[in-house]
Amino acid sequence: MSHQKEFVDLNKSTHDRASFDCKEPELNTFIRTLASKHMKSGISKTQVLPATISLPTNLVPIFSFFTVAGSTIKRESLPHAEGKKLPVYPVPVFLIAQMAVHDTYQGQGLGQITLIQALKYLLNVNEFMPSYAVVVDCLNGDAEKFYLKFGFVELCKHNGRTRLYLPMKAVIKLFGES
Amino acid sequence: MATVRFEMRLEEELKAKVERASALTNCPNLKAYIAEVIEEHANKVIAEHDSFTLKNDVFDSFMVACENASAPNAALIKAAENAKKLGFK
Repeated sequence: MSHQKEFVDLNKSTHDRASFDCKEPELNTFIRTLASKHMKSGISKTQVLPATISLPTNLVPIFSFFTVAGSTIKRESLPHAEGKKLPVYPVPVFLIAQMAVHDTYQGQGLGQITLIQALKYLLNVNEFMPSYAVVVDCLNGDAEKFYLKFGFVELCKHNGRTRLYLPMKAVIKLFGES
Repeated sequence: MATVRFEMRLEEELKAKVERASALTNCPNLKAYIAEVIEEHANKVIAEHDSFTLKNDVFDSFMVACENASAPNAALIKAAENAKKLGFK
């Protein structure tokens, strides 16, 4: 089975969410039951990489997906006004809230492609909703290694997970030069 | 404001407890109390989801790093080239 060359918005009436399995129960549950609900209520947006063929059920298998959302970062307390030009208001950031590749298709570089397409998607959103960085919470050590390899930097620990970020300026440069 | 109807069943014990709590607040009636509680809770959940707070020094170095962002690293550039080569737009 091969995949298409474009990520599209998750659509529960065309994409086969039930057969998606990345071996991480949390991510499986998300794509199978929550992603569509979250899209409907404006919490996050999910794009999937569909297969080129559909199943006998007429549903198209999902190779990988990413979920993005907007968020803001606040400073614990306001900075002293000693000529610092740092903003005092909450600053907007993007979250890669979820990202996963189907178990069967792992090890073929699809994770990288999914990350790149997620960043490209966010670059477009950035045009009308400028943000400072792309933030991601790492589900486990492997996820952390993956993002660190691509230049993400540690921000803090959040609910026992490592939270990393990549400045939006780096994303702009990435696609500006290619 | 336009209103919609929302019905639900509660366990007897819970209803008694909610009535008691409602009586202890300034809410005029049970419905008003329940509406207030769910709105408060919804606001809290949404606020927690929509933003997070950093320690001052972490926030400041984050902002500086974002302002002076370096170029993407070699691995990320290579990944973008791969995606392009494979026909992704």
